[in-house]
Amino acid sequence: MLISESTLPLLTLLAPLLAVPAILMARNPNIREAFTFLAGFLLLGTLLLMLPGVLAGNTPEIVLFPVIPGAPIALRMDPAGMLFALVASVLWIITTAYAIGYMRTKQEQNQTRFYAFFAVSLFATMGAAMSANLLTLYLFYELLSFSTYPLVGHHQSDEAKSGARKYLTYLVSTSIGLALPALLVTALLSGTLDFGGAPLLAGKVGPSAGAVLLVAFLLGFAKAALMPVHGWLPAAMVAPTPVSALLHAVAVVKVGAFCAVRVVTEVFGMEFLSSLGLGAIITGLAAVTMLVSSFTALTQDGLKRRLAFSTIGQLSYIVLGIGMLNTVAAAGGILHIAMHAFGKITLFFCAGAIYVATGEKYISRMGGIGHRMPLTMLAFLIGSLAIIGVPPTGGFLSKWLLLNGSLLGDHWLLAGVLVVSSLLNAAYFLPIVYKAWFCTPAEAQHTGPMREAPTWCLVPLLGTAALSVGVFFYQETLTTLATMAARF
Amino acid sequence: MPVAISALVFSAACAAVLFMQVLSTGSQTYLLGGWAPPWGISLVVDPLSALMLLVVSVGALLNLVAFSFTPSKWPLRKTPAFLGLYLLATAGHLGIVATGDVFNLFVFIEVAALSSYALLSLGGRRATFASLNYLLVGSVGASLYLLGVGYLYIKSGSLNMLDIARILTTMPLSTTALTGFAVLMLGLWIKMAVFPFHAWLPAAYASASPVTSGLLAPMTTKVMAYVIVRMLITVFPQNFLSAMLGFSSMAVWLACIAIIAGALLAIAQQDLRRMLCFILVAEVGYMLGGAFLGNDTAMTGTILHILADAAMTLTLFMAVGIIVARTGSSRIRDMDGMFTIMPVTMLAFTAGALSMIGVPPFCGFFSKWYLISGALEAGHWVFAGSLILSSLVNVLLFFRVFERAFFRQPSTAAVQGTGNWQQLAPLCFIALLLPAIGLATGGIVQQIIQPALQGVL
Repeated sequence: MLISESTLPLLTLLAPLLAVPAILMARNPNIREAFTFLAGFLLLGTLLLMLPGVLAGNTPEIVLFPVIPGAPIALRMDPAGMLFALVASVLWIITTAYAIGYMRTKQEQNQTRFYAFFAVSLFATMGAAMSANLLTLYLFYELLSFSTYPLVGHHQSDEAKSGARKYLTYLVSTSIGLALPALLVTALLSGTLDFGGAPLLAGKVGPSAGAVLLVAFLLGFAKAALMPVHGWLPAAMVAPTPVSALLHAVAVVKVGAFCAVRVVTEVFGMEFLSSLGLGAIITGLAAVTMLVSSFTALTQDGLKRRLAFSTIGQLSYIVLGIGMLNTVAAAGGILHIAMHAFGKITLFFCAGAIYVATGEKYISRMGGIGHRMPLTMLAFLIGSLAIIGVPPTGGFLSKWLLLNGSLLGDHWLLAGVLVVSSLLNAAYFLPIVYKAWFCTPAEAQHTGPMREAPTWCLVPLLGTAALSVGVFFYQETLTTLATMAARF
Repeated sequence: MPVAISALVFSAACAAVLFMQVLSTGSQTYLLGGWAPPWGISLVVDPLSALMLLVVSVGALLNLVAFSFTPSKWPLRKTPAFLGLYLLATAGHLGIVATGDVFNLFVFIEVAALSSYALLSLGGRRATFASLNYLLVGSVGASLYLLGVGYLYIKSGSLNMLDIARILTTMPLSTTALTGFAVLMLGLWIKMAVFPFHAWLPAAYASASPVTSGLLAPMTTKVMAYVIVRMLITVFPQNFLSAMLGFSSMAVWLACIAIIAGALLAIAQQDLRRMLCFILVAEVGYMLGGAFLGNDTAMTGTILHILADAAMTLTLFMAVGIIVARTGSSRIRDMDGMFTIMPVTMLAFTAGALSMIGVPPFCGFFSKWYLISGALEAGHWVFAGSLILSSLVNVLLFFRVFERAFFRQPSTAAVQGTGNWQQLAPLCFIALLLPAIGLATGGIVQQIIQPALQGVL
């Protein structure tokens, strides 16, 4: 091979970063977006080059800077990272296409800044996915918080500024206040922060210290939006929709969930956690978050806010899966990183498309919209089914594994929570779809003929809807990666 | 001007060559006048002091270059006098770092301080008053240091650092020597602006001309912290700290108070330069606490933080100085839209700010990492907590500025144009150094700090 396997992670990391100067220099918007696409395909290409190796059990690794003994800045591609990176990079390309439609139609200001920070955010996401140790993970985690801040406040209105302020306050105060101390204590106790060996803390802490550290990690990585540190996510909805779609349904929040996965599998280790009996903390936090956020979602009238609360609930599926401490449920949780991503990004794309085409943000004003935007609402239906977990969508697969895992571990209560939560998902999504087509003429706020959002918006959302169904039929790569990741 | 700059270039080049030599061949000693150590004065350069020499000389150079090309509302009316003082202050600080003699160190402290008082007073009416205040407090600090040296001389009969160390290890601990130690440290704390002896610092640095505060803010407190470290690792035998556990624990508690007080006072400031000054007060607490925690990890953190803080303070003060020089204001409410007006300067400011907050890979993160690890090792949870709290407050402080500078429209009377490259190049250089130093932490710790700490603590 022309490029050695261990430099591939570095290339993957640098691909989005290389786009930044190009984006800033480009004189013409079309050239600027072309660079983003170029970087996106380059990124995807390097990932696909690595994929066969990772599937065969390799973990390409590269040490960049030996900053602290036992915790260098290093990259390592393992199955969990591969799964996440693949999903994020595919969706980045699609989102860029969508962003062209959305940003140009809305004539947004400062688009160059927007694309530049978008690329930086992807750089940080890739770094987090490929982190070989906790320190590197923390580095990219923080970088992601700071690089998404200008995107959240993009509109520069007072609402946007206060949203961005809340966003940063939640994310940074928890990461510095909880995750960093937990990180330092872990480093002190174990002497290393590297992933891939024996779990860092296994056998080194007692149940009470372990519980404190576990909670500090789970809430410290607040991007996973476990209650009570979830408030930033609805606040972040002031961002332009492409940001909400890719970052706050896929990249940022999944980095949080991904950190939770790393904490359970690499820092504590599933066996050690179950020997301490701490699984209940994780599942308890996740189950409460799941139910409360689903009920809250029912009461939200802003479509994006409802989606945000739905995301909070769905993230907890991932945490719940790994918290059950058996490989089947963990595989389900990790697989849900991908499956939820396809479904939720579709829903966000639809919300944005509706906003672009009609200017509506509130669910109560979307009666009859299916007559005006049938394709969008069809995609919305598919996205909803993926979130609810109805076959033939990808969401079914992950939820199936989760449910199996919960029964396998005799977690009857959690199985019940999963079922109730899925019903609630249906309860907050399906009425929107129903009202979009079936309402009395008096209730209808929109009528035909068909006037869809611009093509650049419409095609990407149909694409992700197709992907949500497609992954049900072509599931092998993703499920293999998830199962491998759960075994590690 | 060209003379001053070429002098500093020469100094920085010498420091760089010296640094390389010391790294490859070990410490170098120069005997002034050829007199042998216990009687004559020697200059000793080991890897640690070589690094400090490099930091001081490069910092002074970059700062002068940047501001020489910045049109300012502080016209350097007495330019030759100003430049002379500037070089003298730099020389004084270099001398403090290089000398191997405790009395000679006092002389250099006075050289540096006297020229600083004069430099600071050139900033206008408020500056004159502030530097008088600094003069009074600073003289007390220097006198206390001298008093401490006196006690040591009574006991050991020597002024040479290595000689004192040798003599003190052979002697039983005496109250005289311990008093000398305590008084000397107290003097250094005052010079370093440890809370509650900090009041001179914000007053003097915030009212001085930008070029002066850009020189002194990164330099003075860090060089004083270096002196404390030097005293602890070279001059005083290890049993001093263990004999005075109360003293060192007081120092750490004082550091905690300094950090928290500095952070809280910084929140109250409406002026960017004053805010930075109070952050500096908090940073002084970092270095003090790490030095007195009494373990290798914390000491490593202190030394790293001396380096990191010098670099990031220089970045921030230069960036703000350029803003002040070009817009005439450093009030936070005048920062609206500053990213649009001066993108390069603000990017450098952002780098400095992220480093102050402690975001990897900027150097501020790694020094803080060692400091907190050291605090945890020592079981000093309050110090660890103060460091974390200070990071959180820094987020608040800097993002308050960023929110204005990034999301608001610039006011109409704003200056246009991004500024000339002579002022931006040094700023960019130092801003890029921040992550570079951070990523080189492993090498710095291995090559410079660990040899310096070997056999100590």
